[in-house]
Amino acid sequence: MKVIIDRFEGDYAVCEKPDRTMVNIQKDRLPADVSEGDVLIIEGENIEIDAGETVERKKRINKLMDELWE
Amino acid sequence: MKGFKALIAILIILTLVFSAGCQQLPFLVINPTPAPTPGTVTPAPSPISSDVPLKVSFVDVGQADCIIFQYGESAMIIDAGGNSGASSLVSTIKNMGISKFDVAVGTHPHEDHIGGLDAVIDSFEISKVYMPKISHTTKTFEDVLIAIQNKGLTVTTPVPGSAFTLGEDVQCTILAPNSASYDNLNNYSIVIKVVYGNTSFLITGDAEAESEEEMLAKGYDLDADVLKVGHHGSTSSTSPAFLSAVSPEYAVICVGEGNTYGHPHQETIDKLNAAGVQIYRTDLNGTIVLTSDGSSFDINPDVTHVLPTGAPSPTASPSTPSPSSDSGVQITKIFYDGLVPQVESDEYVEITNHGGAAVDLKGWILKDITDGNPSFTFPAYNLQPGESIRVYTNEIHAEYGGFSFGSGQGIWNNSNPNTAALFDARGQEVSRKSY
Repeated sequence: MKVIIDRFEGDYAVCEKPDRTMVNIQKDRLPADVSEGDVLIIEGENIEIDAGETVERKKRINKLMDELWE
Repeated sequence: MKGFKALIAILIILTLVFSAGCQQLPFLVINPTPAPTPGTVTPAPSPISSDVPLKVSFVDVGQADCIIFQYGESAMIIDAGGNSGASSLVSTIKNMGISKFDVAVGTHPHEDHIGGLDAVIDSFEISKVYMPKISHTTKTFEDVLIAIQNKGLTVTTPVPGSAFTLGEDVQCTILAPNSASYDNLNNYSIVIKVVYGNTSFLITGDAEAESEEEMLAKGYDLDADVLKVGHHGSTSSTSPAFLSAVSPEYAVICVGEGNTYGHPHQETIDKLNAAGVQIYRTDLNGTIVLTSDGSSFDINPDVTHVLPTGAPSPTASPSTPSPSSDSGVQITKIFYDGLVPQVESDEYVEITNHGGAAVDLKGWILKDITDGNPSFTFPAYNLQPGESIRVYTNEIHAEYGGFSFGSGQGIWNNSNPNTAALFDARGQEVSRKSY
């Protein structure tokens, strides 16, 4: 499963599932260098950053923002 | 009441004016400040041209923010709750008699602030959208942008110090964000001061101490009667100097009952109590409505004598979880003292996966083994390592998996504690917990 880190609250990363429901994942289960906005790949107990998809989403959304902001 | 202070000031000025023998009409003389003009950074108490009240609703959207201003036919929404509450928020807004918003503000791109904004944009006429120009990668944020695009709208970047009006008389001034970049999305939060006559509101999003310091350094007039406490009452916000500058009479904390993050933090409650601020909380009071006539407030619910300010929100009593099974799935909490009268529909049992692998809960059963019923059988659901879900007595909370006993009455007895047990698909007990 892939999730996206929406925010950090205390000991948790609040992550968005593909269906936009939210899930709390304890921060100590995540790679040390995670940031808000990172796409994570969860396979069993292994959680990794999907750097490629993170960059791809950033590019796509930034392009959309450039069209919308005055 | 700030209105009262202003009245005293006016009386003093009047006395001085007349004792000096001035023959001018008093109201030409005593107008203490010129009417605010766009661009002013310190909106002064503004003259009110009508007796239309300003109604400000701090909508109970759980662990999320949504504040709605209504002034005659004009309306402004600041944040729109989280993803799970979007459809019910749209109904709530319709029930408030709103069909259009002059202004929609997404304070910053976190889901608990903009989750319902796409649904609001889809469902209502919107004139102007303010959001900080900061990107996020979530589908939640992307969907808000798509909703804006589909409506043919554009987004205005907030400029601190700039002002706009809602209707004729409600002055809104943007006070933050003041920097181009921050480490944390919270600090991009748009902060707006709303002034109606002699009453004022400061709506802070999730702005943290760093942004608060910047607002102080800019010399903005932060003084307000009502403070929407930053970041759900987290210690990250409401720094002493900021609280002192705002010097509110009322604080509203938008926060979800029994939230996982311990919001509002006790330190924040203590600070507000020490400053003599009357605290309202959406987790304890539900939706809080302040109606201003320009000089005083009518507050609903009137909880002055009910709200135990400083008391921690009710939580299940601590008890040791039973030894974990191989899967690591445990009952971690029983929130037995529901706040909904009679039916206690908001009671829940929390189940957490402390193990290292995802567990499919299909066919698992959660049961009140003291009374022998009710029992809840899980559908297919992959509980991820570290993830917590809840089985509510009779509420659906998608952010916790959306599970509910669907019971029309309370399950977890407050005076005679029950025991909950969790059985796996083979009928093996994996965890039990009392309270």
